[in-house]
Amino acid sequence: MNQALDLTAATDQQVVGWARDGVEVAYRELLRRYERPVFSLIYRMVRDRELAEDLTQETFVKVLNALDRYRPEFKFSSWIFKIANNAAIDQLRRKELDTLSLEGGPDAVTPDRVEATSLQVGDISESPLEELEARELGSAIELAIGRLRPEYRACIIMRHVDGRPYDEIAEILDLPLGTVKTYIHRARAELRETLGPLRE
Amino acid sequence: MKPVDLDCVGKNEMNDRNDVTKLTPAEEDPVLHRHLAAVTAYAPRALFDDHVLSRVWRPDPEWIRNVRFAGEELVDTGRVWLWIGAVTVGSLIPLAVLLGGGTTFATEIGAGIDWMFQKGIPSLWTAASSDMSRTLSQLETRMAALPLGSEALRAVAAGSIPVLAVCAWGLSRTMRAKRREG
Repeated sequence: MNQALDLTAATDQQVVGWARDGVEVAYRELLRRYERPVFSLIYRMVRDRELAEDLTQETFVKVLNALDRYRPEFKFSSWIFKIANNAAIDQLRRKELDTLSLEGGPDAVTPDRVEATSLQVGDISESPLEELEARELGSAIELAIGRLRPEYRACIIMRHVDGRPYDEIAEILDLPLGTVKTYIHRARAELRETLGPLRE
Repeated sequence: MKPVDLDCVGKNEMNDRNDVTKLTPAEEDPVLHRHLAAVTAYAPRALFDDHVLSRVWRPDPEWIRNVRFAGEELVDTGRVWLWIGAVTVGSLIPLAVLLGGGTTFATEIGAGIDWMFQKGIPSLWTAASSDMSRTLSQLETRMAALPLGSEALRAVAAGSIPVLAVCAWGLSRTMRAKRREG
């Protein structure tokens, strides 16, 4: 059966169905689809790569072990992001990590911890000048996102980085739609203020 | 996290844009969206998939579950002996056919090998074909010396075919009846 599966064109619900039948490639397809967005969300929330990897792994283990309880009438992405967001929020509550430094998290006292809690800004341009500008812009954006309150941060990442609709964000965060709109509006206002000189 | 009422904040802007939920992120704030959309998509380290899958319980593939189900059904219904009998008889058939046919047609097979040799089979095969012909002749001699001989083997082969068919029929009937009960 495996050879006949066209996983790339299949919906999440179909892939989950195959995973429930024990098809390993279906599990790998779910991981391929969601490991980056889930990890990116958690990493931006907790700002510690190792911790983010652990939480991402816990999220996937929890989700993949509970596929039998997944109800296909709901979006799979909403389900997995809800679990990921809850894991990140729980961690933030435990660690009280709510501010960001690109040079390392607030609890970073050793060089290893500084490295682990520093956000890494990727290269997105080719010329040295463009690269410099991009890195500066990337750093400023990451810094600005990191300074948002966790609930604003989750909303703005899901809306503008992942491109999710309002109603799905509301479902993921278990918030009223109006509240999500407000959070995003406020987050944008804070980002505009922080990024003011770079926005032109 | 305390929910905030939309009416308190950003009402004017929301009203100006009608329903923001119908806008794309880029339409809502193009400049900010362009910046935010360009941020890095972080990825976990290599072998992340394998680490996750090593901790995930996966159900067996469907065909394994079917085989297991069939085995459990056989035990539950007490028809396991029927199955063992069918398998035993079924595995005897090829052996009986091979031995019976080989001894019966040993002369013809040997003649065929000789014919191939005469038609120009490469010399590499000459020794091998000669050995095969000699071995078959010896086998025929030994089988003929046995009390039952090749005729008995042919009889076993012929008799096992209907036995196997009856076993398969009984087995499939048992399974169908059990599934209906389920």
